Amino acid sequence: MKCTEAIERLEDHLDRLLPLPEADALERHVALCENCRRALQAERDFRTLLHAQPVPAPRAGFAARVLARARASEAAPRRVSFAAGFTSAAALALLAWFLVVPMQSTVAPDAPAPAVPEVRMALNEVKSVHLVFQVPDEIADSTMSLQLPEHVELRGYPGRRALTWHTALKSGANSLSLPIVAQQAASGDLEVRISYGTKQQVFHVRLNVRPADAAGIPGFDARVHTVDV
Amino acid sequence: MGQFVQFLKRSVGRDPFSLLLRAHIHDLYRAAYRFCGRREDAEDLVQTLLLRLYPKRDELAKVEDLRPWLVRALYNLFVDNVRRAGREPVSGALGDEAIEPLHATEPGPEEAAERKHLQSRIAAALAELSVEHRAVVTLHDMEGYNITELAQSLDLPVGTVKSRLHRARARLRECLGMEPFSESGRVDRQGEAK
Repeated sequence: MKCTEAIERLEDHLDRLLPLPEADALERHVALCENCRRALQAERDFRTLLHAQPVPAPRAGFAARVLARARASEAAPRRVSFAAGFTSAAALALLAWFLVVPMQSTVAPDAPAPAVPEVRMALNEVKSVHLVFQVPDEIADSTMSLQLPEHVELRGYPGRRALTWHTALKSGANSLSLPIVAQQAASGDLEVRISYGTKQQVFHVRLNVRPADAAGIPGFDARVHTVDV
Repeated sequence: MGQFVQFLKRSVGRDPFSLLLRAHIHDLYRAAYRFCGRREDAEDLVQTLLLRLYPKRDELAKVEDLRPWLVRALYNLFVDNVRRAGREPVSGALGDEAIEPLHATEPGPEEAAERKHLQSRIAAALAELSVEHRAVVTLHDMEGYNITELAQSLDLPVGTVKSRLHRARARLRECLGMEPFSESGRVDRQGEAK
């Protein structure tokens, strides 16, 4: 066997795809040819390296969790289709959805949630807006960014429209309270962006500030609840 | 104990899906990690697959050889995701979770550092491969699927798997800056054994 033939057959030999006579011929060749012997050993080393490439264990309870979610999917088809589409499209593990619940709600309990949750405020009012992020699995390092609309401020951060910080998100509910100061009568969205690794998710909360003289504004709780999807 | 066994029997009776799938989740996660290169993405991929399979659990029960069938479904889902996102799933270096000791024995600091460096290089080189090449090389050379299983899993003829595997390894060596069969094994193509 020539070296060129031997080299061409090295991979098939290690993959155990060569017929026995060819495998024997190759073995005889490499026993005599130092170059081809080294090539065969290099290929073996390469395979060993690849085979030893580690896989980190999934997070604790992974198998039970994915099976449970699959089973639960049938009980809540709307939520599941959202989750399935969400994960397949963006491959995000972070799932959250906001729903504003008025204090004196006249909304029927089964009414659909608004597309963008809304917090109503009076001019110059300071109101704590509570956000709750429902996170399926712990995220050790995420970046949280806030983008404030022009007509409000975050108390303690005058003039700041954007804030960014790093935080860890535990599995389950994660609360964030934002003391919002209503400065102008207007409506606009507070944008909350959570990113980790190559992923990100953006949420909006509409901050609707009414003029101070608009008497009789019904009081609204600024709690923003989450629904786990 | 008797109550526990009864509970298990009741659970299994109620949940044939878990009974079918549980034994394969470990392999699916490993394959998903090899495809995606990140733990979170791998977990998401397996979760999405199971969510899609659950409504089809009756069909699933009829599949004779579930492992290659599941890997094929996982791979198709992965390819769909990549195409939909219009990007390769991994860019640049992988996270620290990709780097773990190879052996239980503690290597010296220099050896450990060298090993981590090499593993990082391999992870980065794998990320450079196309989706198709990464699938064959990771499933065969890392996860130990044989050519026949791979052909079944990827729904390809055996010959196509072999040639794709050959090209994938060549590309991987290229990404690692290795000569074909490494520098030390470079062969004078004119040479012959004596």
